[in-house]
Amino acid sequence: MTAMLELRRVSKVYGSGPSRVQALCEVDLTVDGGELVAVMGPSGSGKSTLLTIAGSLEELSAGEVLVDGSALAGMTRNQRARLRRRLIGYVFQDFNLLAGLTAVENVALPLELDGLGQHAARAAGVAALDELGLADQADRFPDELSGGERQRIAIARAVVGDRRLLLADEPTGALDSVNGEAVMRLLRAACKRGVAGVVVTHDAQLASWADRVVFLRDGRAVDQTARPPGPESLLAPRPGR
Amino acid sequence: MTARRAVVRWAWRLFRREWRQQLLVLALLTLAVAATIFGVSATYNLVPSADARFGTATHRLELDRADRRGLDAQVAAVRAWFGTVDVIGRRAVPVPGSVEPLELRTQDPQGAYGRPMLALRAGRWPSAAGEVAVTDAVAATLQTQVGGTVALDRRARTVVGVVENPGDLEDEFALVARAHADPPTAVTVLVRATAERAAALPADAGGRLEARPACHGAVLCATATQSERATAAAGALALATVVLLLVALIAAAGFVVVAQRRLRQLGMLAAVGATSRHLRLVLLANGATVGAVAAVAGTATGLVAWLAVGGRLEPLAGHRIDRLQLPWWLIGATMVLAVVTATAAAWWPARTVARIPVTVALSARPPRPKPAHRSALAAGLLLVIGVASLAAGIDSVHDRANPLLVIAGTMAIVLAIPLGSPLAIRAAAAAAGRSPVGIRLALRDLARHRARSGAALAAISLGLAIPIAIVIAATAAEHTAGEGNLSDRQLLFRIGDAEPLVPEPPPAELERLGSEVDWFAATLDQPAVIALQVAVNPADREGRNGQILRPAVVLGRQVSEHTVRDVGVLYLATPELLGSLGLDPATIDPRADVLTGQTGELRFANLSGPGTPPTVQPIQLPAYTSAPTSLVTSNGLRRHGWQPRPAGWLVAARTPLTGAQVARARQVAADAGMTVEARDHQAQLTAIRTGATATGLLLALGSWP
Repeated sequence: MTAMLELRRVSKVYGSGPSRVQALCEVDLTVDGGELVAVMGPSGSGKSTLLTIAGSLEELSAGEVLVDGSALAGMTRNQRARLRRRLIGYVFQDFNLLAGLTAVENVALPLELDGLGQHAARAAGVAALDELGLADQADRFPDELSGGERQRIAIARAVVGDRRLLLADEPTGALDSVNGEAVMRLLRAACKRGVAGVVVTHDAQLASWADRVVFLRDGRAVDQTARPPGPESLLAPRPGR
Repeated sequence: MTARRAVVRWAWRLFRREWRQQLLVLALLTLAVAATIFGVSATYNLVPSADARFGTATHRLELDRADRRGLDAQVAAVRAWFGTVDVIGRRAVPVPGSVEPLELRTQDPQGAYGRPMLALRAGRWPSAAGEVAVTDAVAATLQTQVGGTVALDRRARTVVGVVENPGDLEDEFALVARAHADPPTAVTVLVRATAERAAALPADAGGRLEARPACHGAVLCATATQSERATAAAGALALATVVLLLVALIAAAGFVVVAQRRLRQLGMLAAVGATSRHLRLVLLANGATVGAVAAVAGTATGLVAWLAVGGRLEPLAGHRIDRLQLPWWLIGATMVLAVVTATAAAWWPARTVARIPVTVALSARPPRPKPAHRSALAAGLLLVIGVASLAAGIDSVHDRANPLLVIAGTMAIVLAIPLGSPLAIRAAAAAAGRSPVGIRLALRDLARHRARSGAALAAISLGLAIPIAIVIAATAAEHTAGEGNLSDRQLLFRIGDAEPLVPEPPPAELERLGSEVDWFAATLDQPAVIALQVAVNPADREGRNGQILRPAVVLGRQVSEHTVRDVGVLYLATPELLGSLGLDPATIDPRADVLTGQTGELRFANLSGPGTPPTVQPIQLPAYTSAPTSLVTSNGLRRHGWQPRPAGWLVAARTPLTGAQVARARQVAADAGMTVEARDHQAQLTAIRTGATATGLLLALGSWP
C-alpha cells in the first residue's frame, strides 16, 4: 500500500546567524490512507511547521516530502496549488472560512478553483455538508454560524471531492469539549473512509482518537506510539466514552 | 473560467461587506469622474458653434454697399454662381439713449441655411409692415414687450415677438419682415459650396468671403462644428486623465491597505488551492469593482450636476445649450478610464500580495519592514526634482507655464509622498519613546505594520493634498488691496464695452454721457471724476452693426517669439490724469512714449502692421489691471501719428464703494448706454476655497475607518 504522506529526514531552518532557528530536524513520518496520526509536543516543538511542510504551504530546508507518491520538491507554485485543491484538505484552529461566501460556497470553493462548474461544485458541497448534518446551514454566512459549526464546515471543505490527505492544526483549540469531541469524531470518520489524517493537538484525550501519536520536541520526533494491528481495533470501546 | 468566476464572486462579496474601508478611494474616484463628466459636458457645450454665424452654410459672404442697386446686383451675381443662397439684410438705426445703433435685420426664418441663426422665443414672426420682433436685450433697452410699440428708424412699430440667435445670445437685433423693410445697408449671403467653387467666385461679385472654420476641405460640412466641440471635450478629458492618474496613486496606496487587511483571507484562499493568478485576481477584481462603482456613481453625479446647472451656463457660453446634447462616447471613455485606472492602481498591491508566502499570509504577521532609508532617499530625490520642475515650469513674472514641466513636477511630488511615508511613520515611532503608554503603543504598532500604515498615510496625505493645493492656489490667486482690476474706491465708466474698441459718438452724445457720470458722482463722498482718452491709429477702424469702432492702442508684453500678451490699454497722460495719479508732468521725459510700471519686453499692440518698441519711462503705480496705469505721453502720441479719442471716465471716491453704490452705477451706465467696471471681489475664489476646505475636512474626518 502506498503511503499517502511520507516525510523523509525533513529539516526546516528559519533565519540565519544568531537568529537561526531549527524548527524541524530530520523528521521521518509516514501516514497511510485511512490512518489518523496525532502530533503532540510543547509549544515551539515544530508541530505546525511539520503540518505546513506536509501540506506544501512551506518549503523545506532539507529532506523529502511525498504526497500520494509525488515529491513536492520539483513542483512549481501552481503545481503545488493544484495538489492542495485536489488532494490536501486543511483545517485550522480558527479563521477557517472565507467571509463573504456562504457555507456551501466555502465548501465548494476548492472544486470551483479546480475548474468544476458552479452547479456541480455546489451539489458536491451540499452533499459534503449533508454528510456532516449541516445541509440546513448551507446558505448561511460564517458570521451567522457558531464556532463548532464553522469548524465542521471547514472539515467538510477539507474532505470535499477526492481529498485523500487531511491536515488539521489544533482544530479543537477554540472549541469547548463537546464540540471538540464532535470535530474529532468527524475527522475519525473521514479517515475511516480512506483519508489519511494528521492532526496537531495539545490535548492528550483528543489525541487518543488517533491511530498513532507522534511526539515532537525541539524539532525532532522523539517518540511515537505503535501502529495498531488493524482498523478493527479502533472499534474497541474506550474507557470513559 | 469557473475558478476566475468564483474568485471574482468572492471579491465582489468582500467589496459589498467592506466597502466602507475603501471610502476614501471611492469618494475621490467618484469625485474625479463626476468632475470629468461635468467638465467634458460643459466644455463640449461651451464651445461656440459656427452655426451662430453660418447656420448650415459652408461660406458666408459680407456685402457692404451704400446703393441698393449695386447691392442687389451683387446678390444676383452670387446667387447665379452658387445657386441656392440665404440672404440676410442689415440696417443700422439709432437708438435714443444709446451710443450703439440697433441692427434692423431681415431674415427668412425658414431660410435655406440660416434657420439655426434665428429662433422665436415668444409671440410670432413679424409679417406685416409696422411689425417687429426683438431680442430680449433690445426689448429691455427699449423698455418694451410683446404687444408694445417702439419707434425705430423714424417709424412706430408693434412688437409681435421675441427672437434670438440661439448660437449667439449677444447678437442683439430687431427682425422685420423682408417685404416691408427699408433697403439694407449691408447684406450677409449664406451659401453652401465646395472650397474650390467658393474660391472661384468671380471678383466682380465683390464682398468678403469667409469659410466656415471646420470646412477647409473640398467635402461639404455636415451641420455644426461637432469636431471642434469633440476636440475641446477630448482636451478636457486629457486634462482629467492627469487628475485620474493622481487619484490612481492614492487608490494604489488605499489598495495596499486593503490587501494587508485581507492578507489572512488571501492566505486561506491559497491554502485551499488558489494560484498566484487567483490571488492577484481577487485584488484586481476589487479594483475594477471600485472603479466601476465610482464610474457609475460619478457619471450619475456629473450628469445630474450638468442637467441641473447646464442651463445656467448659457449666459457664460453666449449661446443656447441643449443639455442632452452630450459627447456620449467621451462619457463612455471616462467611465472606462475610471475602471482601468482603478484596476491598474490595484495591480501593484495584487502582485505584491500574491508573492507573500502562504504561511506568512496565514499568520497575518506584518511583513518585515523594508529599510526606510532607500525609499526616503528616492522620496527626497523626487521631491527635489518635483520642486525644480515646478520652479522651471512656472514663470510667474511673465505669467506663463510649461505644462509638461508642471505635470512632471506635480507627478514627482505626488510619487514622493508614498515613498516618504514609511520614514515619517518610523520617525513618529522613534519619537514616541517617552510618550504615555497608549500613544507609544499606537505609534509602535503603526511602525510594526509599516507597509499598511505607510500606504494609509500616503493615501490620506495625497487625498488631503488635493483640497489643500486648491485652497493654496485660490488664496494665491486672491488679489491684495493693491492688486486686481480696480481699487475698491474706483469705478470705470466706458463708452462702449470693455473691449479695446472705442465708438465715436457725436459731441452732444458725449456731453450727455459725461453729465450722467457727473450726476452719479455727485451722490458719492467728494469724488474725483477724470475724463479718460485713449490713443487710436487713424488708419485703423472696424465696422460692427453698421457703426465705426476704433481699436485703442494697447501695451503688450512679448512672451514668446510670435506672441505678445496685452497688459493694458494705453490712456493719454493728460495733466488731469497725471495729477490724480500723483505724477508731476514736469518729471516726464520728453523722449518717453509710455509711462508704466509694467516690465519685460514691452510692445505696442492692437495695431495694424508691425509696431516699434516704445520708449518707456518707469513709474510706480498700483498694479490694477483695468485702471489707467499705463499711459501714452503727448509726445508719444505725436511721434507715432496717433490721435486721442474719448474712452470714458474714472470715478474715484474717498471711501470704499458700497454694494448699493456700485449697483446704482450699473443702473446709470445701463440707462445711458455705457458699461461700468467696479472692483472684482473674487467671490468665486472664496466659494472654491470654502468648498475645498469642506471636502478636505470630510476626507480627514470620515473617510478612513
